[in-house]
Amino acid sequence: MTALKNFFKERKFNIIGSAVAIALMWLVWIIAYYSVGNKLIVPSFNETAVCFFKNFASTEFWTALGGSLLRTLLAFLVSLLLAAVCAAGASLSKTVKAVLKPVITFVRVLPTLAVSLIILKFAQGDRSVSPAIVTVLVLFPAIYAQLIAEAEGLDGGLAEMAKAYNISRRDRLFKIYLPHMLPATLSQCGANISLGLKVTVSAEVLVNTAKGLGGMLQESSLAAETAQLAALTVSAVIAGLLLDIAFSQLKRLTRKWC
Amino acid sequence: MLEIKQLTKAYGKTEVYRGLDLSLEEGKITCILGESGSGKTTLLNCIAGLTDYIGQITPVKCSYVFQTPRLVPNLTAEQNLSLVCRDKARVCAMLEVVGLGEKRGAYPKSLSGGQAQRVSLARAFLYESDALLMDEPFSSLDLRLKNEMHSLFLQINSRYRRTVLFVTHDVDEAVKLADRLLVLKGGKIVFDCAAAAAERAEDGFCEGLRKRLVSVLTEG
Repeated sequence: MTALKNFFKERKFNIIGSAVAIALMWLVWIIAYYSVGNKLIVPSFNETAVCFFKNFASTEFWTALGGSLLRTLLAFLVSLLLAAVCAAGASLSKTVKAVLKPVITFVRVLPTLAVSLIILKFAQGDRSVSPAIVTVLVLFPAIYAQLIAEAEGLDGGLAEMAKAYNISRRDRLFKIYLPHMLPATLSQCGANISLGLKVTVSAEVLVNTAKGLGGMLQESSLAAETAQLAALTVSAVIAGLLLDIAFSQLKRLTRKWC
Repeated sequence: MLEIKQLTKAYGKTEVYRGLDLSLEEGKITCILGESGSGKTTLLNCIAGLTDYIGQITPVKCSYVFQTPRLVPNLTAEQNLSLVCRDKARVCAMLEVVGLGEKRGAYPKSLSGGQAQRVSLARAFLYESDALLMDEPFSSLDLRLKNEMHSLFLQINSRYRRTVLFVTHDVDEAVKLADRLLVLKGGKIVFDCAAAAAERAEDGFCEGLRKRLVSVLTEG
């Protein structure tokens, strides 16, 4: 009980702030609903709430949510691994860094939703692959930039020490550089994953992925089921928020030395 | 023996050394005194291969004790030492020698400044090197800790007998530790004095040496 009390006491301002923000957003919704006066454009809060809770009893909803989350997590892991390998190479070798620079820029500026449609053709109509690939295209350059910034922020004194003592490249990478990058990377995990979910769902909407939140959104839109559309959107936002909160806790792993 | 021949080093248009020659006797502690900006750290960095230079320096394997401990923050004291020595028994023994046996599992953030510098000193002696470079390693410590570290350093070095190049701006420290004293000014050695232990034990020798050093350092 004391722990719970302390929990709320420490986060008092955050909780109050969040409650005020949610109340404001609800108010804006109500005002918009009555101002527009057309529930095909702005659905009512009550109907949306009914659809939101009805979805919990729907197998189709959980399958779609699971599908979107799985694609997001897989894309995130692939992006993280790829970015880590590239950042490791770039931090140990100026040549590798120079070669990677234009590649990363190219990937970053690629119009991802157009790529989504192109991949769809190559994947012979498989609509589950392209959202994941598109998410990788968005997350990989962002995570790489974060890791490189961290690597370059490594205390110059430590780099000098490693050189003076002829510490092997392997040890430098796994015992100095990667652990140095870890705290910031872990603290960004939540933000990166929730961005990933956003991109995945957007791509799913475009290619109408069957087992995905995006696909359900597309179907609701085509059927003019605006309340369901809003309910699914709220579900996606809550899922993103929960992922952000959950994965942001990973930074606690580095508390011992930070 | 560590030989430096015709060392020339400049940072842009600022010349630090031009044709510096220096020989260091094996197993002796050589202290280099000089004002800030006189090139003491640059000399150590040239020897350690941390900066480029023109000239010849005998290629030697160096240990380096920096002004700050420069411990890897995500590794414990023991793990930091293991970076330079894979023999766990030797690592643990060295931690005992520097009085940190109980702190082997501690991370650098939980060590005091003095304790962290002890780990740095332990690292330097554990690494099997030909020369030990020390760049004002005790300058940030208070007087009591500094004296403790001097004693510890001399105690450990009496066992390992490394060729030591110790850079400092503290005259008392230099007189206390050195077998040989050099003063660096304007990129040149302007004072060179070998002071054996027997001489240092003579009455008034250290005080006289100290006065001569202050005079050399402060004259224009």
